[in-house]
Amino acid sequence: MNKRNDISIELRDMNSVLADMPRTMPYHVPAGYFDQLPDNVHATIKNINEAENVPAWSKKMPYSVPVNYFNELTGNIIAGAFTENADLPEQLPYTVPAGYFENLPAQILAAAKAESPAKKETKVIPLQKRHIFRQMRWLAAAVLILGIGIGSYSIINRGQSSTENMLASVPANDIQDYLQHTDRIDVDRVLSTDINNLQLDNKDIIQYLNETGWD
Amino acid sequence: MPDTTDQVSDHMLVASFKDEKLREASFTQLVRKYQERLYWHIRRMVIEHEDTNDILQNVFIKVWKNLDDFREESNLYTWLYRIGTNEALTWIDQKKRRTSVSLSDNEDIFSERLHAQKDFDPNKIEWKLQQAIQTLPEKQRVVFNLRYYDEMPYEEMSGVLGTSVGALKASYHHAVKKVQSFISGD
Repeated sequence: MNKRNDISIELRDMNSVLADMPRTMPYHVPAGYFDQLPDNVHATIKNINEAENVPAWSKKMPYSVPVNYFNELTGNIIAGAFTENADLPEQLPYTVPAGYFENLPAQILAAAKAESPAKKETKVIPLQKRHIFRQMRWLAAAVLILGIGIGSYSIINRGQSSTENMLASVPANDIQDYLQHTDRIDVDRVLSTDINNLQLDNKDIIQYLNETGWD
Repeated sequence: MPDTTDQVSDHMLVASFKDEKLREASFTQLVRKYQERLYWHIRRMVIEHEDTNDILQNVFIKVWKNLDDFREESNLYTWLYRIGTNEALTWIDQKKRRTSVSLSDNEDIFSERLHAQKDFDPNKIEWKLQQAIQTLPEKQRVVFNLRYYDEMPYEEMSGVLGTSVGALKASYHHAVKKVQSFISGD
């Protein structure tokens, strides 16, 4: 074969001993293997095709589920989790070193001071002085309110009493004269007058009502 | 290697496979035509008959599934060898991962398989050659086998392995040197 010669020539060009070696495979092949291989391959393909062509069985599950099961499931799970934890002890299983909480404030203060030593010391007002100061504040507030109250009262009363005082200062004879010279109201005439024929302006009506104290 | 007559024959096989009525018959013919070549190509890689049979069956199943889409841009022969090579290399990778071995340990595994073969005789040159080939890296082993045993032209080999002709020539050259060195005991 030309190709075999080509390969041999190529190997000779490489000065390789492989050029003259027999190219036979030493492996054993079971008897009849190649005769049966095509049928074996066909059988394998057939099995694969059958496995891929699964009948169109119904995918519906035959089992029944309680009504609203899935709607309530989340809540039940959460409730169950809380129920499970109900028996758990409330106390934590951790231990605290003896005297820990008693010493803690001092430790924190010391640590805070150590971190910022240049800071000015906060002014500490003794509890008693603070109490008196608070009392004085309340006292000042009370005095202020009282003063405002008294002042308002006097202003209001002054307004009210001035009218009465003015009337009180008018002599009785003058009042009498006024009443005598004022036109008497003819009651009969008023009653016989048809109100609907009265040509009254709204403004007049309103003014009258205001003067007589109607709201 | 396929000549012109062979290529016509391959074309007829592919065309008749696409006919539903002729599919099984043409496929049987294809298997009969290429089974031994593909078998030995795979066995030279994996050594044991049972593993070779498994891989070879997988190769032909892939051919059955994909021959409809084969556009004959390359020879059928090249296409078949490409599938066979990839299946064998994939199998070897999986084997290595399953046994969690390093590259050097891999040589020992296949050496053990070689020693377990029926009629193994390290004094016979054909067994010695097989031992030498097993020392080659996988891809170089494929190059050596395709060239030395299958007498595949470098251009065809380039289609099978997706490597340039120049790189394949260099690889084969180095493989020959290593095999020779092993055989002569250097």
